[in-house]
Amino acid sequence: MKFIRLSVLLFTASLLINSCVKQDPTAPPSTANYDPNLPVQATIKNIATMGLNMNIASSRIMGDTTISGIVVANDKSGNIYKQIMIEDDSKAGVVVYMDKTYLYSDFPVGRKVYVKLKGLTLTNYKGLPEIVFTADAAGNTTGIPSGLIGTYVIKASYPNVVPVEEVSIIDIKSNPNKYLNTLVKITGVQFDGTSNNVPYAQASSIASGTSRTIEDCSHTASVVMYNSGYASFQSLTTPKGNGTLYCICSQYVSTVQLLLRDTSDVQFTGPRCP
Amino acid sequence: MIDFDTIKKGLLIVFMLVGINTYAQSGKYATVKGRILNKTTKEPFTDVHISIATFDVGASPEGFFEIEKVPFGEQKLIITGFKIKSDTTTVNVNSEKTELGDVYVNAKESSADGTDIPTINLEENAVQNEENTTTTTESSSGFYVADNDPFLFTASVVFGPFHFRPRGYDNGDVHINGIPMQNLESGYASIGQVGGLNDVLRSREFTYGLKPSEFSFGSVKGSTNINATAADQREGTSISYYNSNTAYRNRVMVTHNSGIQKSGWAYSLSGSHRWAQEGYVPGTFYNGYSFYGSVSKVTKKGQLNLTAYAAPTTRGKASAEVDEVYDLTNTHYFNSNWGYQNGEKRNSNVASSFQPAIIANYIYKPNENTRWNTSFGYEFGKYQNSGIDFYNGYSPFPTYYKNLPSYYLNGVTTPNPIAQAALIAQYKAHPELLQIQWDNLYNDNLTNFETIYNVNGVAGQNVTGKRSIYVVSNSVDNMSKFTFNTNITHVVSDKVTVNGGLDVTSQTDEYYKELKDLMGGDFFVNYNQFAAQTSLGNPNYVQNDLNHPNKLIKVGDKYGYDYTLRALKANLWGQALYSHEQFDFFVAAQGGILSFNREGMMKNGLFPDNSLGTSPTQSFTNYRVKGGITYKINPKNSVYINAGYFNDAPRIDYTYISDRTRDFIVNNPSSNQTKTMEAGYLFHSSFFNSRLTGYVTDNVNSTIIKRFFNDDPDIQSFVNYVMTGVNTRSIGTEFSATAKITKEISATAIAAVGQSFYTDNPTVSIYQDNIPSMTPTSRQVFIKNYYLGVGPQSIYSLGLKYSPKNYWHVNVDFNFMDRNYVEVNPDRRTQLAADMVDSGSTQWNKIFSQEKLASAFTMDISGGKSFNLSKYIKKLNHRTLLSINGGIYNLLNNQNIKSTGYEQLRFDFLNNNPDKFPNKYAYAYGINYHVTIALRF
Repeated sequence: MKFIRLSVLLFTASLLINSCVKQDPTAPPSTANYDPNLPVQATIKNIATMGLNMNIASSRIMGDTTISGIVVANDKSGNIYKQIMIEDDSKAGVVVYMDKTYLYSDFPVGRKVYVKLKGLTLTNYKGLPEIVFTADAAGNTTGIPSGLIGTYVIKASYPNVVPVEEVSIIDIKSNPNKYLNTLVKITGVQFDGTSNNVPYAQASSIASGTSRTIEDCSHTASVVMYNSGYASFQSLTTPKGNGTLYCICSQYVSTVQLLLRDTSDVQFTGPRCP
Repeated sequence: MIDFDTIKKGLLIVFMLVGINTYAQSGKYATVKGRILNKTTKEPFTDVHISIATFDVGASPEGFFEIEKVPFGEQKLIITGFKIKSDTTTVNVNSEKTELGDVYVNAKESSADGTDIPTINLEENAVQNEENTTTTTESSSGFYVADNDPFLFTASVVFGPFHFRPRGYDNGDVHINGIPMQNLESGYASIGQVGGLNDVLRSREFTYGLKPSEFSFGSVKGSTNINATAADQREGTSISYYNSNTAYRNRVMVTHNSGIQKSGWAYSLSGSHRWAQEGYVPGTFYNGYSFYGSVSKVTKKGQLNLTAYAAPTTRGKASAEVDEVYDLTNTHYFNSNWGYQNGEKRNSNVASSFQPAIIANYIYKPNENTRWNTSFGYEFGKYQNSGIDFYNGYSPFPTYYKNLPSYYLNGVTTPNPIAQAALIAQYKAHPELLQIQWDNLYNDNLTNFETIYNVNGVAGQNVTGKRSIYVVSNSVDNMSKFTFNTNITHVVSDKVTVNGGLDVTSQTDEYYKELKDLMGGDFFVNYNQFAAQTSLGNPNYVQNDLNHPNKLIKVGDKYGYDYTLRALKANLWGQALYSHEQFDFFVAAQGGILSFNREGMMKNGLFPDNSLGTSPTQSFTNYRVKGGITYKINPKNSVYINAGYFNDAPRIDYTYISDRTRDFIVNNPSSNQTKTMEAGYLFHSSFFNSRLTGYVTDNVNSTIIKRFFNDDPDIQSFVNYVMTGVNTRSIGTEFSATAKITKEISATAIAAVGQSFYTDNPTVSIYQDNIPSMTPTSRQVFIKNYYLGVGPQSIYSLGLKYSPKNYWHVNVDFNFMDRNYVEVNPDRRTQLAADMVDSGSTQWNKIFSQEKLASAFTMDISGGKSFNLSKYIKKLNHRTLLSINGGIYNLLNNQNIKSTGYEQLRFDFLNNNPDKFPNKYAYAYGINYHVTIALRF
């Protein structure tokens, strides 16, 4: 009897230890090198031109076309909001507007993306070609809802070389449409007399954004730099010196303006131009 | 005489020893006869075990026993049984035919033979409320099961899963071997600490309401003392297997109890494993082990016990959702806490607890009239909850309101029906998008290369790597608790009994956040996300710990917050009971102190002067008094009335405005007062028993803090919503009746109809966690006459039991519940919430009305059968019993019962649209079952 009792006990005790301890699954593999190689039917230049050829505030719903490009700017610093700019070999850029914050985590600068345009809307938003979800007759736009982004914007490989074109202020002011939504490099520039040694932007409680002015060293040309009051660098002080500027070329109605991705784009390490 | 029994209302067990002569003669043998009866019902028990000298026998179904060849002289008679409280008495065997007559013993206030104590079925709240991080719900309701009280049995077993709370009360008074189990910070006893130990927790003393209890002063709800010593366990071995489709699917349990040996020693061992790869709700899992060991030494005048137990448990939780999500996914058991990672389901909200306890207690019985118990307890260990934490990232929670279709209707300035329709179609076709996208979150971390400058505050120490945007972290409570309790019961005379005691608890809890998984990244940084968003300009604000600025956090590191609460509580109480022929009176009083302080281990950048180090000690002096009268009109009818007045300290975590970040205390913290009264009528006869009770309890001057994340673009922070001067009332009636219709059929009816509601319009002070200001925004909230969210406030049940002989029975229960109100968001009952909204308009009514969840009807069936295997296999011990018990609940498979609901604490003050943040709900299980097969020998 004792033996039976003991063996039954031991048997059951072994059942106790028999376990199916739940472990966390293993880490998923990186998809950074993955490229779905979707067929591409148009260049960004085709799309951007189509957008610029429309009147401001007009829009069109796109057909079954896919484009691809490299992310050249995103919302990481908060200076750009809910948008990324993509650029392809046609050296044109377009805004993709998504109704989601912190897009940088999915779309770091240098990531290749495919955009399936079918069902999306191309609009001329105050002079800027943008891919949005919907646009109404008055030109008000809605970004791609977060739950639909994965359907329209397909992530591909990362990192890739980020295209950048070296230009002058005169180049972009004389032919802005060529450079809209692309990353450009401008050398020998500085913040002008009233824009240097001040915060990049006023606090968001005062203004949603502030225009500062960039000028070339000979004071012959200048261009607006628009900084958001919500940018993480809003309170930092603009440098006094001159140097190289990386920025996104943008436009608000008829005003050409430059957008920073972050202050690391402002490499004004030289002395102030006299 | 030694009895292991506790003494109720001054009544000692009296053994009637009949026909004993006074001389003893050695060398002779006698036959000892007697009958064991239930002291209360005067009816025999089944399964009683009697041992004397070297013999042991079982009693007949009528309770009779007979033992031959018992040597003359003083002999110990030990009575044990599954349904009774073990008892030992000394008998003088001095006649060849020693007739003991009827021996009365008390029934264990625990489950009937073979049934499963429902304790384990009432898990700690399975659904978390992500917003109100500090609200603990009725995690202790499982302690309040008493199967000799049909009302409480049904209330907890049938309606517990629907979050019914008797009288709307929450706190209780739970002791194990004399040690109070309540956490000093919250006041709750956690059932998780003893989960899976059903076999050894069956012996209970239980009082409901204000009735006197002999081991403590008690609470408004009553008190429970679980006698979990080796000496309390019925001798034998039990092996059982339980299967269910609820929180866990399997349980194996083994228990071996020595019973009290002739040497006076007893030991007991129990272990169990509960598990489910996936519970009733998708993505939930369960893995719990339980261990228990106890040793007792019974001496002539006392009993020394040493008991230890632990229940390491890990379980994945379910989420509460808005109805829109349940509609999109077409199931009421949708759970957004999990998602696929590398093809496998992973739950982000995992609760794990391992808080073992060691209890030593000594019961001293110098004479028949005195029982003195002294206990020392030590509990320690961690309770942790995991969740996804993120910095500079989009909400990883897939059912975040901005992801849902309704956002494009209620959340935006210009509604966009196209986007709304597209999202509805998307989620209906791809409900998997509403689960956590683990793979995507990992890949976001893998591509986020960043350089952190001046790591740990060391200039020039810069680190570049993959900075995790998303991590999994644990909120940890590391507890250490010493408890001393002593209580004494002394029967002064046949009319007067006195009780009293002292308990002292010293508890230390360290709370911190601990990084559990970097999710593919190299490090996380100890920054405050919310300060980062609103406190530009002061680089210190973002630092969670100024003494280690820019600290890189790796797996196992503490971050975010780290502080310790130390509390000391001591109470002295006394009670006197006077029993007259027709009247019983009692009075009881308690006085004590609670003192506590906070010690911060991090110097928070927002509160550098109020976060690090030890804060001044807060002390409160408290007292409680209660008393009552019972009038026994005649043996069948009695009435009673009890009343009490309590002055209690505020909850510790409701005294600090935000104990995680700083030591600021609420304005003028003060004790709250409870005035309570209950009265009842009892009818008792051999075929019909009934009880009708009324109660009213007013609680005044309470402080309640609700803490939640406020998504308002202007706030974007955790917010501490401090309500002071909160008054509530619970008033209602309870009814229960049991009737023996035939010898084999009995019926039980119970009902409870109550109202628990706010009785004033308190002031609210709102403190944000992301700005250093101490000046709150204050406003009045108009919550007077709104109901509290305390589960269904009306319940009705009718049960029929058929139990013929031959050890089997079947029950059918018909249950109805109603008036389950959602807990209100007080901020939605302010002038601001309806600013510019026309009074009396539809929108106005929608803002101010309180939702009542739909009423529900359910039907349950349960039953069981026991086989005495020795009848079939003669070789087996005569006590070898095989029992099968089980039940099917919610037989009609009603999957539309909302068991809980609450208003979100966020509100759309911009457009005053209550639909922007609609109510969240959890649904009760549809048809579910459990079955237990147990072998005892």
